Amino acid sequence: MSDNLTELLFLATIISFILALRFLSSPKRARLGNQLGALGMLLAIVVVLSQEGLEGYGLMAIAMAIGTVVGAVGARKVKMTAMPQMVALFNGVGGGAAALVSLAEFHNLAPAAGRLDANESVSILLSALIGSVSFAGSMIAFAKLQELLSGRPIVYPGQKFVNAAIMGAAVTLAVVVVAGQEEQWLVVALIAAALVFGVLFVLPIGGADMPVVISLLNAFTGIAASATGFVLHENVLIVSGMLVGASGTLLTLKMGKAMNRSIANVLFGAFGQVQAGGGAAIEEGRTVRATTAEDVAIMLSYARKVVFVPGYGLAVAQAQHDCRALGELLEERGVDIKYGIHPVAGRMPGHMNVLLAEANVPYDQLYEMDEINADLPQTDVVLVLGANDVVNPAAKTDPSSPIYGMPIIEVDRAAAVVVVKRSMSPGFAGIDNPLFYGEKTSMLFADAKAALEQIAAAVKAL
Amino acid sequence: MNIKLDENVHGDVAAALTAQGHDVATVRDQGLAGRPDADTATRIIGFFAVVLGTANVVGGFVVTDRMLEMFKRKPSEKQEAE
Repeated sequence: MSDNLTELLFLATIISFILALRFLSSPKRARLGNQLGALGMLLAIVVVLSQEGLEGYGLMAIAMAIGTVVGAVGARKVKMTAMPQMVALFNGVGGGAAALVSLAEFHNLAPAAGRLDANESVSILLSALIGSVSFAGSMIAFAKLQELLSGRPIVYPGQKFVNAAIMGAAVTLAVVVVAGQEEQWLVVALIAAALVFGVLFVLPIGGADMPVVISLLNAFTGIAASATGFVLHENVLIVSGMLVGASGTLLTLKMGKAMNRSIANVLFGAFGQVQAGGGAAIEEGRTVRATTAEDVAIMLSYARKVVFVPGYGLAVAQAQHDCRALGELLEERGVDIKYGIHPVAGRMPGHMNVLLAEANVPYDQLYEMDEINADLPQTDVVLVLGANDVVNPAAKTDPSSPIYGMPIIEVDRAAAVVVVKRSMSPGFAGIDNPLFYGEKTSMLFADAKAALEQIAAAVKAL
Repeated sequence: MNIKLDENVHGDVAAALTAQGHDVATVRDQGLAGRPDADTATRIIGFFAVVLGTANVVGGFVVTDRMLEMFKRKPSEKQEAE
């Protein structure tokens, strides 16, 4: 294949990636966009494989077959509730791939000192450093979300100092190598330090913040891939890595905004640790009002407008289908049903939409936070299903609360609120919720699935 | 004759051979300069890199398609129902 043709096909790939991103922003064309991106990727791989001077096709074919099977089976089998973990895993292996390529290139190019010029070694080391951090950090994020590790922030005295020291060591190794000490063990040591840093850097971040971390690490993977592109002199990799880096960065910032927290606060704030101090203003001896499925059924059946606010608890209970069934039952009785979706409902942006879509909830019943907030003062009953922090009024009223300033779904503005919850235990962020003690609030203590089944049965019996 | 010249061969040699009517490809022209043949370690590392990279790419596109597929179906079903 001629160089011109190669470059032209790579340009086509890049255009397909950009169009894919564009299409993904509208629900109508999102699937087409993803397929276009996949096609572009296939083209890029074919073009790379048909370049001259390549060897080891057999080995590559085996590696690609293994990767394809692992990726495709994982992607097919994963439960929709476990999607954030899956994203963390896929992102991590991407970062790992970038780090490995840079290690291989270094091994290949630098048997003798002085073989590398500075921009080559800088690219190799950046790719190794960032890719390794992304790999190790993503694995910890995966472990936290999968609850292999505690979701609580893991902190110890002097943690930031230790982290800074390890990062400093890694950067020092990089500088030494760029300065001309092109020893392989230095690069291996750098990768080891970066891996340790990746682990330690994610450990103190609470489980609730993992989506932000994954999004940030996703941006890291993109930048690592881009650096690898510089190493391999492949424009297509530089550009596509940068597209990932840029979109990951934008998503990270967007999520920070949805929680009204700076990224620095997410990364270094050890969220959830402040619980003892925060929210202490709430007086002791508060009472909650417990209700029954039958009472809730009556409330819902005679309401005009009902809003469901689903949270991750709903998905954990696998109750999306029961939720949709209850919604349909109420609609038959002439009740107007809407779903209010917080931007960080579930475990990552759009996660709750996916979970409800899986349960055949019509897309046009899903409303974003701002839309539903405008509707809530005219709403008769809000049914909070396994959501907690995203409806916590302390975010608006209690400056000492760790989530103060976070935009919430203002369910307390509706005429009545029913919270379905298994117990009074705090939510994922570990923060007390004054909503539960509100005058308009009644609590239905039950598993979301059992509660929805009972309410539906009671509605039918009316 | 088809001749491939390694990067340590001077450029004049290529010119001279071309002048004599041979087809000459050089490692340098093909952008392969500074790239020794891959040894076993490189191959092993590269193997794992390709496994991870492919898993990332294939898994990412497949799982995204799986999610988007669910979205697309819903509004049309709703319209049919109405």
